[in-house]
Amino acid sequence: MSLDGRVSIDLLCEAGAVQQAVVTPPPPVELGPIVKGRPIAEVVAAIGSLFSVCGMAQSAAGVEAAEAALGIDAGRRTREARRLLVLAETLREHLLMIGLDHARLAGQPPDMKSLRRAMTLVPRLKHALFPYGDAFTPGSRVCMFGPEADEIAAEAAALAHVMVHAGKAPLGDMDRYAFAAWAGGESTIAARLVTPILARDWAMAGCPKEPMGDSHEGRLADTSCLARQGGEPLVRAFLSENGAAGLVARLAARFVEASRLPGQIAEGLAALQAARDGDDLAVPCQGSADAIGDRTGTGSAEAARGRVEHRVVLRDGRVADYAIAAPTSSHFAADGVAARSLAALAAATREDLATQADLLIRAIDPCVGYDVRFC
Amino acid sequence: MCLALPASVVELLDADMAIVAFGTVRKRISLALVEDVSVGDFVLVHVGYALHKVSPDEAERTLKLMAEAGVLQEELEEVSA
Repeated sequence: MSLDGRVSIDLLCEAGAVQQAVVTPPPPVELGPIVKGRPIAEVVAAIGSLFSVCGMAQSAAGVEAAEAALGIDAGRRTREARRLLVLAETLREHLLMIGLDHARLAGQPPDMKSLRRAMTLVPRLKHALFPYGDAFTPGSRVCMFGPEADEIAAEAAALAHVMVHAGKAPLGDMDRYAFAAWAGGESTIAARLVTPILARDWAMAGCPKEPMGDSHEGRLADTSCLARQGGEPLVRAFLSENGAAGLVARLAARFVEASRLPGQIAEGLAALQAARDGDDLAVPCQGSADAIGDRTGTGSAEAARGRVEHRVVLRDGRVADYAIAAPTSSHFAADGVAARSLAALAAATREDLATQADLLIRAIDPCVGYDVRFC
Repeated sequence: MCLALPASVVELLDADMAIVAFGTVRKRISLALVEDVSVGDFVLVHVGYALHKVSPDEAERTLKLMAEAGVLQEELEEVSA
């Protein structure tokens, strides 16, 4: 059982195969004391501070829920600017995972100079788009911005080039053979992690018998970068016949996403420069009022580790209830994607099994520490 | 969820390492991801790394929020383990 904010994993093994994976997520954070009765703007700011590792995604989902409940339309440019901050945060998180964890797993020293630059992307972009610090204040508006934002996007592209994919051909368009050749070239940390995995024939390690589709599993759906990049040819090339994902499909999804994000950020910035709020498409607020006047709003954001969803209830202008659904809670639930994937592991030795488990857990990526025990 | 705990830097060590204080709990962490950190600065710490600097006011606010949410003790137990 998890008592201290970590994921707890017990792998019940027999004859070199995991028979059952007992996964316990960290207990949910009790939001009640910090949200109830408080003004919504204060609550959104508090949630961004509290969950700061994915603070852009949490704040974006929070302010979307708040504005829906308040009946505020933020405008297309502001919504897009907030989305770009979430994309930058997703890139940073992928680069940290690749640059720290994957480098360690590949036996490589981390490239701390690149990682330190990666850490500056989000605050610099946030300052460029929202110089008054109000990116996630309900009703705020993105400012016109200068060339600094484009420089940040160019720097993001340079970092992805060094750490993820140095080639010109899009990673996502590769087939298995081109990917193996790319990995064998060992041009980046990402490539160097994949080489031994392919050589040991572990590409499909942890591939469950049945895929976990978005519609199939509801609250336990896999909303990770695998879901976002599952349509890319490279990711599809490593899925099983029925569409289930093993280790390399998950890693490929992260690498494809990380390599594409700088371009998406640059395109988004160009679109922001060209657009005016008057161009807004009419986007209906996801809010409603009930018979006693409570106003409910929902919001969501695609964080690095998966979708975060917020739901707020306002009563007399103050927060009466607030709920967050986070990807680590669903992916590492008792019957979530991690448990199902880990239960599909099999290896010749306990050492190999432990290595596969470590790779797979980090590919699914909890945002907290974890403990694995073999039984 | 993705909690990072504010801590004050009490000693700078070699190789981008530092001793930080989470209240009365002291811990060795990496400063490799953050530039220009001095003794007395506050940093947000997640899985052994300082992620970025925060002001003393922001650190105090976040610690208060964590205490109110009932997660501060859990986080302190984890870092002291």
